[in-house]
Amino acid sequence: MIKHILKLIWNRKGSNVLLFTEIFFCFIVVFLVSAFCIKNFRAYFSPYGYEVENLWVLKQQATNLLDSTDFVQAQEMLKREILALDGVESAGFAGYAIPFSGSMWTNGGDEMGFDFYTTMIGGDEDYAKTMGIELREGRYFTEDDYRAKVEPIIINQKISEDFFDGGSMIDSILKLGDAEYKIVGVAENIRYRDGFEDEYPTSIILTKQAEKEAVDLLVRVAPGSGPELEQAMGRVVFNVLKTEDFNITILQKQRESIARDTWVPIIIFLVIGTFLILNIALGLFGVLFYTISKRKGEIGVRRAMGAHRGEIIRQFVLEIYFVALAAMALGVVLALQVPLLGLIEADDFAHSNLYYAIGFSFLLITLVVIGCAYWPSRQGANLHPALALHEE
Amino acid sequence: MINIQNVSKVYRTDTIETLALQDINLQVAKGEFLSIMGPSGCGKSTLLNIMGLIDEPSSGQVELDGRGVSDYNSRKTARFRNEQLGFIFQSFHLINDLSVIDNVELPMLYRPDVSAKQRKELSAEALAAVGLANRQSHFPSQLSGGQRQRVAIARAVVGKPNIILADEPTGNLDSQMGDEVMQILIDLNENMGTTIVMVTHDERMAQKTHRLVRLFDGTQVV
Repeated sequence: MIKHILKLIWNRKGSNVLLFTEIFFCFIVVFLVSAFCIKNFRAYFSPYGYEVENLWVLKQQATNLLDSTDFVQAQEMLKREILALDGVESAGFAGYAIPFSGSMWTNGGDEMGFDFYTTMIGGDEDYAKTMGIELREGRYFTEDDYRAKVEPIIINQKISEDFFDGGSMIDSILKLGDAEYKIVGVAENIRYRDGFEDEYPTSIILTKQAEKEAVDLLVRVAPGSGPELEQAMGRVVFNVLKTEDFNITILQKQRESIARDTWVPIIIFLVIGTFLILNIALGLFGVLFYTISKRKGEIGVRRAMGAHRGEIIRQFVLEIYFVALAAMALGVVLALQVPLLGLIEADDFAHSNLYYAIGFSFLLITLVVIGCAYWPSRQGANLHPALALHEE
Repeated sequence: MINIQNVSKVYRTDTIETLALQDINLQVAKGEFLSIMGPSGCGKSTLLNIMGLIDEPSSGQVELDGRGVSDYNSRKTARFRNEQLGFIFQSFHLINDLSVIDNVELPMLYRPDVSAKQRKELSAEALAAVGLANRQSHFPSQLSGGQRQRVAIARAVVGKPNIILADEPTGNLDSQMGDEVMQILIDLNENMGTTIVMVTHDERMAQKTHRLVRLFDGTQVV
């Protein structure tokens, strides 16, 4: 029967070519939309390399107005008083760029004999612990590191893999411009731009408090902490710094807020994609309904020759599905060129999104085609054979 | 072989009721060649369709090959049609997108126990029997009317059915081609013992069969 159906398809190639073309372009569009959405969904729901929940950021400018000695003392007192509050689990100062703030600092150079780049985060000795950054090897910063001859640095796994073939990096020296850093820890990959980005090389350096490199205080609070703790922190800031010019940001909300900028195009693409699929489904349904209604005589003959309803449905659904399969096969071959030929610059994770998108597009179009083919086929198969023969 | 008892057929729409057949009683013996005649719209094709299980009577009983078929479900009816009946239509009803041999093997496609090789062999045999062995890979549009009807006959006989139901098989053919097709049917009946019921408008063709039944306004008159 399969061979019979393939013959029918081939002999009707003139009328099938339009269906083939429509499904091919549908596949390509669904592939592109789903690749974009899958990439973003997977990134958003992938681990960030630290605990976003229950992390608050206390921003104030008052200490910047102090001289270096007062600055350090005021910062230490602020941190100490905040830590003393019920519901505060840990606190650490952050510099240069805090997660989801919209700012990043990238540094790089070729001092090591190859092009190297990394985004930079600064923090005090409690920063990494407060963020909940997990280390794959090595250690967090300690107070002794402030007195170290070579500045310590924690790199992420991405740096280790992309630039140093993934081997152990502890105690290695990293050169960035005029500065040299000694690697003391290798952290999990960290993402803090908006949650949708791919993993990228990131380094954490120890901020020099005397040079006012870190002003924002990251505070890890107990789950369920709310306005009461917020008010208590406000009172501490006022008591220590004598200012009400501060704000407390809940990182989780900040993440949601900044992610909105990316969710909007995703939703627009999804809506457009859904409309497109709906249009194609309706078009396909109409075309198939017309095609099958034009073949009533054939249905009558087949029924007279001994085909039962199920065989008629199966034949028509398979006929249409095989055309779709051929169109999708061409689409898959083309889509596979993107990861196989490396047409876009991406790592294995990003390429795996393309494979997922190919699978998803294949599955979705299969469901749409079978769904659209089934109903007209069923209508055709339900025709009374005598009536079908009469209607030719 | 075929036993029709008190068969009536009424076509109903919301507003009209049309009586197509009324109390038809007809027996066709095994190996008989019966023709049914009557004016257009008298119910000849309806009666043939009921005999071929592609239409159902509104009342009455149909027995084919000694078996009551009224209680057959759709699947069993389809199987019976496939194994026991062969159909020939006035307008041939060939599938234009299939080659001659593919058209002929159509009934065999619905027999899961017949292999592709057997299908091809049986179809080639049937085509050879109607004199079209050299036209296997042609398409229906490349054939004359008489040749198309011979393809349709090959398709009807390929499954070696006991009964052939022919609905005006010579209706669309000129007299010479009609005679050729009629001769094939007569040969089938005489040589293979196939029971044939043929609807025709052509008195000359009807005279070549064993028995003639006439219908008028849905009623059997002879």
